Amino acid sequence: MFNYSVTNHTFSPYRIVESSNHLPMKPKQLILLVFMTICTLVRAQSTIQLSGYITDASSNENVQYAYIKTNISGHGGISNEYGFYSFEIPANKDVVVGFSYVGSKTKSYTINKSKNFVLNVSLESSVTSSKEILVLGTKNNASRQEATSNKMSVITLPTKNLKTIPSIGGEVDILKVVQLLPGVARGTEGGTGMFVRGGDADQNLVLLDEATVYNVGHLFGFFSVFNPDAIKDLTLTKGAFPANYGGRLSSVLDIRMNEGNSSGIHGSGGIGLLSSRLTLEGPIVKDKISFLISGRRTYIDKVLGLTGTKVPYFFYDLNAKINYTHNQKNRFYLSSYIGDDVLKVSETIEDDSTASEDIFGFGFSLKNITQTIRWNHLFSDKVFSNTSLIHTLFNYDITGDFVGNNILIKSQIRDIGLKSDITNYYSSKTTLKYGFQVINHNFRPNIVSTSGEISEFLASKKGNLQTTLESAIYGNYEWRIDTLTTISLGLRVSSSTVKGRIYVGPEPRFSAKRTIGENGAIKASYSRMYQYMHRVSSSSVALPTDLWYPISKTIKPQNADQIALGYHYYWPKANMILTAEGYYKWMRNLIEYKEGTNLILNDNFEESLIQGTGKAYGFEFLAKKDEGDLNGWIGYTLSWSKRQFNGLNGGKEFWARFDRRHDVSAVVNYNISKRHTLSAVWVFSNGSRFTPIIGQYLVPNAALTGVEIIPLYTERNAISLNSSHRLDINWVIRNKKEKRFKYEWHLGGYNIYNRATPFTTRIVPTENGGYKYEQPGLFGFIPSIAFNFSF
Amino acid sequence: MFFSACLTKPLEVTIPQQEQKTVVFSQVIPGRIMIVALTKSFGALELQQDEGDSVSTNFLDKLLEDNAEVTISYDGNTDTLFRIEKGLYASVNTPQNANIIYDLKILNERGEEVKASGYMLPKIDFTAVTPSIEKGKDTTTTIQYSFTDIPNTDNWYMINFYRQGQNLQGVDVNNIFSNGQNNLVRTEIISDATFNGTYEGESKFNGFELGANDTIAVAISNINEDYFKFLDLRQRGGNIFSELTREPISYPTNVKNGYGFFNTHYPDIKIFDLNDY
Repeated sequence: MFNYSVTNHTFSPYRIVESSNHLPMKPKQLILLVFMTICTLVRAQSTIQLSGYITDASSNENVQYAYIKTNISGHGGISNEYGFYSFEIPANKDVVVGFSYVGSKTKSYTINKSKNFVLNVSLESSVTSSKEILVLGTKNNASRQEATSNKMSVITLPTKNLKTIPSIGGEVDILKVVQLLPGVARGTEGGTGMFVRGGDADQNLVLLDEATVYNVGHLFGFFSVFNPDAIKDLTLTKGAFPANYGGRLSSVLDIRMNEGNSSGIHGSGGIGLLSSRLTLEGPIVKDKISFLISGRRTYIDKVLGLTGTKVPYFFYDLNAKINYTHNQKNRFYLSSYIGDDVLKVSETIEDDSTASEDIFGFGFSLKNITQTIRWNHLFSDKVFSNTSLIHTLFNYDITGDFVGNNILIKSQIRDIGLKSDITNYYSSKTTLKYGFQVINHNFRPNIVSTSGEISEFLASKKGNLQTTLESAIYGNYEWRIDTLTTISLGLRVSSSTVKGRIYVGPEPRFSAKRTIGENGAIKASYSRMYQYMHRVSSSSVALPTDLWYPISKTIKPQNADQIALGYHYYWPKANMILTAEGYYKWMRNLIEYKEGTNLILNDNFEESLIQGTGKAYGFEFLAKKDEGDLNGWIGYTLSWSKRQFNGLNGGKEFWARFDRRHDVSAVVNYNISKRHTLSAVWVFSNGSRFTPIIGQYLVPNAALTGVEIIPLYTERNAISLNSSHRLDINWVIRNKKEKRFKYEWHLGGYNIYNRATPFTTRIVPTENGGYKYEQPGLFGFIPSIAFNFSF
Repeated sequence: MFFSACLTKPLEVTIPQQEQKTVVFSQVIPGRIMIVALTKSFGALELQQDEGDSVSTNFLDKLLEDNAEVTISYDGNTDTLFRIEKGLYASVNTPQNANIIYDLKILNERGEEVKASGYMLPKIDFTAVTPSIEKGKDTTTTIQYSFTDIPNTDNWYMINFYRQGQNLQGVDVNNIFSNGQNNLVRTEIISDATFNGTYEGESKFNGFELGANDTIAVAISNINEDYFKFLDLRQRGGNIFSELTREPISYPTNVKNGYGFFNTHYPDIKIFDLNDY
């Protein structure tokens, strides 16, 4: 085993050559030597395994999806999601190995070994040395590797590269950043809802350290639950799903928490208009055990409370992680997240008639908890495993008190899961990844407890407990056919056991890549996904009533087939990746609600649900520049998304609500100097669709005692809201880098030119006494200031 | 943060309006008369519910479909309905027999032809209706009722609860569109798919709905499936939550080239003075 720590300049390749001893020999030994020489000659024609972990030099944290390139054609690889890599190289031969990662300096070594060799590599950040990066724009850089890799429909974003992007309130919101990527349609303005490649909002699997996060929004969805200081990176997969991913139709957003800096105590934090946050991390036992703890809380309730003004709402997040490296072969991680939205209103109302006081109270609590215990184990240099035990809880309570009447409404979903993956790096040409996953879902919706007179009309009930067991086994075989062509074949067989029925879903996966020239690759993929649960909510508003429900004996699992074809190109002159992808997705057993369904306190949704089909297709273009003083991306999406339900729109096909034909996002960061960065985001998109009232008529009520007004609608989602565009900016001012205590001022503005992004259509009176339609926006220009620091 | 946000100027838009069509509604008064009320649909911008629940007399007058030719055909016969007043047409000669199809044909003053068919369903009667009242700080009235399902067919029933009615033996045909003195407290609809044989129901009303001194009426009708769906959607779609989520509802109609319902059901009515209970 060889642990190699590098601190020198990265331009020079490191030479690692094993020395040998020469000793005098006797005749018998000579015979033995001849035999061994023959064996060695045989072995000399074979290969050795190069493996190790790739870490970030500043924090010692693992780096996922770093690229490894060698000067031997067909030998190289990519680090897995835990930072581990392994591949074969020729034995007893000088092999130049280059390691690269977005935002890091490329590092090269020359290796000449006769035995399997472990090389742990730490990569230094390149963020602060933009001039050097241009010099380093070699064939080994991460952008080129990314363009010519076999990954498609996947984008990985390290959080540290996102922190200058403007946002509401001055604190970067990683889900809002994801919404700026091509293929991701935004929901309502300011919300965290996302609709990937024509899918629905509940078709995105959001994982935090492998645990499912069911409610990703604070404050009714306007802020994501992910504290940017606690997050290392995120990977959005929109298609070409590897076999280890499953459970949702449209995307997997895999978010990884920081592991804790094992080299020294560090801290960071920020004070924003809305919330403040503080993170501490460091070693408990140097290079052995590290920790991270990060908290965030809104404090407007406390600030205004000092002036006597009651703001009865706050939210908080707490992330914690412990990382224990037992030895090179065994690493353990324990991570946890807890977040809560709390609203508590309490008023005393004087009743003049009885000269008494009545207490009116209302409140809710929305709580997310995730816990993950992870074990990385190396069976050998070629065989890596990860086993995770996962617990997730999402709980909401709504309470009300009025004049002796009390009500508590409670809903809960709890998952306990186990998953294990084994990756076998068989040879330089083949990698096999296989594993299993089991999740026990416990759904307990709408537990009602009432007391007082209200209990006569709303009886207490325990809720309809539903338990399902979702499981999957999977395997993925990656085969490098030649130096230009790689294919990946996968199969996932998932199942869900519900009361009275077992559903089984075969999910074949396929992807292929063919390199075109030095810098381009054409890529294709097919994947089938099954989804065994769905969210019961309005697609437009994140409400406390957003509940997840399992499939049932009558509600079948949703499933989708997706094909994608793309061309990825690394443009050396601009050090930029250009990608173009087209996709077509067929969706079946999609779920909608019968017209007029009441979503409140309804725990028998089966009767209210109907199932139908959908199709989505489109084209995505992304120009991305990760490095340099001017960096960022421009994304464009042209897409169509349709639905067909026998019980809706007279059975005719209709547009999906968030079918947005054109969507453009431009994210630009410009490092004016080492102390000043100017960032801007400009977005344009066609409006979401809606079904307006375009007529009315009167009918006598059922008893002929009055009239009722009946609305007439267009065909479902026939009309689009107006197109919208918006510019946000952020100016970052830093202190001198040499100082131990670093700080940044973020001065920003949201919606600089104050243009409405319509979220609804309403009818308002005109000056001449008539009425007209208008579409209001939610947020106008919002200035922001934030102070971030680190030490 | 939200307080510091500037207000944006809303964007004005034009949305094409639905073309005007005839709206049909009808009522059979057992043994007396068959009434058809005709109005016109109107644009979404012409009346706003924000102004209140009431519809002004002037506005209503503009909507009444006058000078229409209205006929009802049944068993090879055709009756022409006479005009009672603007928008109201009636027939006293048309026999009211169960299990007969009645075809309604309207030629409105714009020359458009509107048609509908209604199947007259057998009358359903209560087997029992029993009110009881708990008087106190909060009065609660309980009405227990039962009826026997009509066998061998799929049936849908409508039960209406009225308060303080002065017109309980029938409908004031001269005042059909004005807010009469019958106050509909609640409508319940029941499909016979949810029970077998005899249905025994119980409805509770708080003191705001029914008072201890009220005269109340309870009526049951055997209605057709489409009208049942219409009422079902109306009940489910009229709550505050559906308004919040703004999910559209397409109301069914049995009228071709128009809206509304050509109904041929008639009620069995029971009247009670709660002072007696």
